[in-house]
Amino acid sequence: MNTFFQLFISALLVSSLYTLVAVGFTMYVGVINLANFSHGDTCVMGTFLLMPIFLFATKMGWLSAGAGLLIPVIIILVMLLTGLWGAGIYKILVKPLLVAPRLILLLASVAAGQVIREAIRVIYPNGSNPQVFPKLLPSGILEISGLRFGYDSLTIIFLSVICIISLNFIIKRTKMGLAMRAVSQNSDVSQMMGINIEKTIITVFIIGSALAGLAGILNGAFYGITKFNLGSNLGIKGFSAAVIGGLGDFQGAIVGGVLLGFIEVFAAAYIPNGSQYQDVFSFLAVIAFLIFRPSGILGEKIFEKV
Amino acid sequence: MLEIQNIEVKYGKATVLHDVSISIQQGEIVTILGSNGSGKTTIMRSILGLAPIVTGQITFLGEKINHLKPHQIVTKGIVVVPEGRGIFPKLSVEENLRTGYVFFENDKEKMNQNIQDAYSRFPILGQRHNQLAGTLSGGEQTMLAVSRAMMRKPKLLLMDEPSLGLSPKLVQQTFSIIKELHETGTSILLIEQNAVKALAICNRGYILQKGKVVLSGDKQELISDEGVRKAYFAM
Repeated sequence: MNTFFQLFISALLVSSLYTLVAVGFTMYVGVINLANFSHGDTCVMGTFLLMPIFLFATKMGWLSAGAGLLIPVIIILVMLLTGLWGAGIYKILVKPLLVAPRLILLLASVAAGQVIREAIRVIYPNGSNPQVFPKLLPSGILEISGLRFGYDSLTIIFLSVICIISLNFIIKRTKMGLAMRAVSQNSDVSQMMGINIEKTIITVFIIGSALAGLAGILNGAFYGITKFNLGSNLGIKGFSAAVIGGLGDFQGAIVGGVLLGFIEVFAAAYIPNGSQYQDVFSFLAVIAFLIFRPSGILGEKIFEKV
Repeated sequence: MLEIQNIEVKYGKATVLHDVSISIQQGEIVTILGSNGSGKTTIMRSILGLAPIVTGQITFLGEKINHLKPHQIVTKGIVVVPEGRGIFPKLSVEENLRTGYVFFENDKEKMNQNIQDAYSRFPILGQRHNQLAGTLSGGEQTMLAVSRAMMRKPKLLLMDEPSLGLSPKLVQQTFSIIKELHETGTSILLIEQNAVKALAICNRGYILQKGKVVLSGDKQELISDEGVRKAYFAM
């Protein structure tokens, strides 16, 4: 039973990271019907933006003065920067190509991912090799009646839950959220209702990229390492979670992220030699969904009645 | 109040509208009749800034609007009941009604009042206010689309075939709402295939054929025109 609980927490941890990536992914699909394959690389960009800032803060001695306050500030700053990158991607890459067939835009996003990867490799000192990522998360272990929970995992789970709840609030309860949902269903009619779709899409790109930045940082901080090409794996996992939940469906991305995390962790634990095939199980799940339920768990199609 | 002057619209190489001019005066109901593919909906899209206009211009209340973005154009006081109703299937009935208001004005109390008005007009919408709009029947969706349009007091209402696919009773109901709106001073541009109904309530009309205005005139002129009688009244 104890092992089960430990696994449960590990699964929640993995799920949290996947979900943070998946919600951005699914929101892009929602508003402009684009699978943005540079999304995973945006996560990694977050880690490589954080490291110099962190190093600078350490050198200036700010960190020893008040690490508890400074680390959240740095993380938020990096989220703002990746958010800005998202807005830039929309302005420079997506907007001019919106009229083109979606395949072109998809290829352009693959290229944008490549640009991030190679830029890190060339610009960052010793960028081809793995980099030691600062331990941003609280260390130590919480022990409750024989169960051991790392404060780092608990922090990641907590932060992700807060982010998802806030985002859910924005989508469900605010005017901007209503605009996002309207645009994702019918962009022409949305404009007729006075919605500024460009503003709406830009907001989605900023939110999605900021969350990607956070996911990258948390991922790096937990494993203590980052590398220029880690993004393809994170991106594919986020994409898989979004597909499992139903592409374009916000709650679906959450369900998909959680399910994917649990499949991976429990398959690795309970299937003999499973940890070697961890990724295989999650991609098998994705393939199964694509074949048997392409609309995903929550992606129920409602047809327009005539 | 709305002046469309000699517009030409092209999608790629295909010219959809040739030199079309249409005007709507304050307080009028103007109808545009024409068969499928005659360019009726394109006129609507041109007014809203959703169609590529090559030449010509559109003014609303004396102001040139054809260079503006769609959301800026509707903010000037134009409200739309789009082709095929255009409700948001995965928003609830109440959220659909809200989309007709929140992006223009910020008065929460007035919005809730307008929502209540819509529910008293169509009680079925009130009963289903939490249901996803995509699960409504076709008739209910029309009620929703019309109610959404009425959430904001429009200066000009554009309606694209509101009666399409409705039962005769609902057609009747829809047209009585149009009439009612007109009596409160709203100017209306009505695009219709149901020529009998449309001609009965309009002040003036235009007949569109293959992207050209082939006939225009007031109600009596249109009804008594030989070609119109043949095409739409089968006599």
